[in-house]
Amino acid sequence: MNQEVKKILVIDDNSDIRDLVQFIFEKAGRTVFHGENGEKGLVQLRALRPDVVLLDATMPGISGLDVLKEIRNEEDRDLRRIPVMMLTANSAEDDIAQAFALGASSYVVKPFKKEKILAEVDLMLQLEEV
Amino acid sequence: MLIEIMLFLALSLTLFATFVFTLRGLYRKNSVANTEQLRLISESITQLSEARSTINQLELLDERKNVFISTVNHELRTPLTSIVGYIDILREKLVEISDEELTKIVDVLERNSNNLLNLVQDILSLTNLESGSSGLLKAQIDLKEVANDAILLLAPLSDSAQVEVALEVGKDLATQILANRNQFLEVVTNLLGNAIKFSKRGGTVHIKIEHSMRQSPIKMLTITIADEGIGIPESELNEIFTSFFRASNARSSGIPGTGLGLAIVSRIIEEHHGNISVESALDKGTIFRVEVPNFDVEIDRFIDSRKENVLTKAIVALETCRISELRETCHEMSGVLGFYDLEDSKREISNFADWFKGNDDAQESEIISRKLSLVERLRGNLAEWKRLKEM
Repeated sequence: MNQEVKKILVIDDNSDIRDLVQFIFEKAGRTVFHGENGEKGLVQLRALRPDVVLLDATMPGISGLDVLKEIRNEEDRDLRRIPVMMLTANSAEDDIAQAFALGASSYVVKPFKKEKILAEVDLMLQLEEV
Repeated sequence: MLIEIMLFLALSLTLFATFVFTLRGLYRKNSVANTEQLRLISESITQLSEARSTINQLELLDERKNVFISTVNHELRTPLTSIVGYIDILREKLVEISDEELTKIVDVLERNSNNLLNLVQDILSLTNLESGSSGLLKAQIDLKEVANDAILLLAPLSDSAQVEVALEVGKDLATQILANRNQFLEVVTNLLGNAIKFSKRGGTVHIKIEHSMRQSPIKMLTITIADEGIGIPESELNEIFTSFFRASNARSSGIPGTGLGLAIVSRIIEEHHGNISVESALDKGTIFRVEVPNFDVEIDRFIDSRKENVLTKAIVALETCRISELRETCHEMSGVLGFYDLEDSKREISNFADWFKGNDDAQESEIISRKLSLVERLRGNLAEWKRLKEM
């Protein structure tokens, strides 16, 4: 694992959930940034160039899946390839299939276990380094 | 759904066979029989189109139910995420948690548990209303008293938000309505609760009860609830009565809500043959206006003698309205007929309105012919009612 502190961007309209994710990952030695909706999340993504994005699906304004589409169509090659984990309460098979078809790297259904998202993020980072 | 589709196919086949046989017969038999067969064909075609329209309606309902269930699933999981997530952290005690963090975690747990409880209650209210199993018992109640009760119930909320609530009732106004008291209290507390929640500190909420200014076949009372709060974006105004919809500025303000309050309110008002409308300006405030039939002993005494008059008015209104006004006329007339206990006629109009809702792209000629046959049936009801009265 890389020595530098990994940056995680969590895009979710629910501030309690953003805080929860921040709590979990900061205790694990990572830095967490917030995007409170799709639009602001994309601005943060370009400004901060995070190592991983955690993305909610149902948000007012631009939906999470549209944010995912935007990320996968970024001009910048590095931004385009950022691992994106969907972190959403939508548990239907169709939603999951659609997210993977659009280029999601991982899909975790809310409510989640903290071990689950920690492990998923570790895995995504390891795959990046290979 | 599969059974309906198979029935539809079977019916189609039968009708097609009848059609072919009849056509073959047309070449063989004389013209009197031909007229009879033509009538049969036209009847079959009408039946077929009615069956198709029923299937369309069932499919629409099925889809709406699925969307509702998946939204409920999403909305219940959201507060649970914070609750389950923090409990997970608290139980393991593997990480250091400061006192400050602990206080914050307990706040989050409390807020999300309350949110979850409100959601469950609201979902229950709404599904009860939708299924019509709410066992609506209506009685003559005083709208002014209901408004006062709502103000008292919400006093802790308005006090802590430092919002003043002012009630104004027209002088000598009879404020009786025919309503289910609990449900109407829910309407007023919901609207007043929103008005307080979205007010700024030091603001005032004005509640006003008066006679309705609008022309209507029956006397209506209006209760308006006006705040000086954050307002609703104009582009979102027509969505606010949809289940789980929350205005974008309400969400981003962090003010909690289930997104079900106004859906419940509008269903209850519909049950009471009234209507609700809204005006809003961003950062200036929102006005909700509820109209319900005014009800007093005088009206009650004359209710029977006015039935004939009311039904005649409904028939004329439907006969003369344009297609563009059809939906609103149906809505208003079924409300009025329901209020006067003319349930059969109300059902006829509601059935027609349902058909129109699912087929608003139908040909003008079909809409008009269906409207005319509706009017015919209402005339039948009127004649039947007159006959009964004479007996």
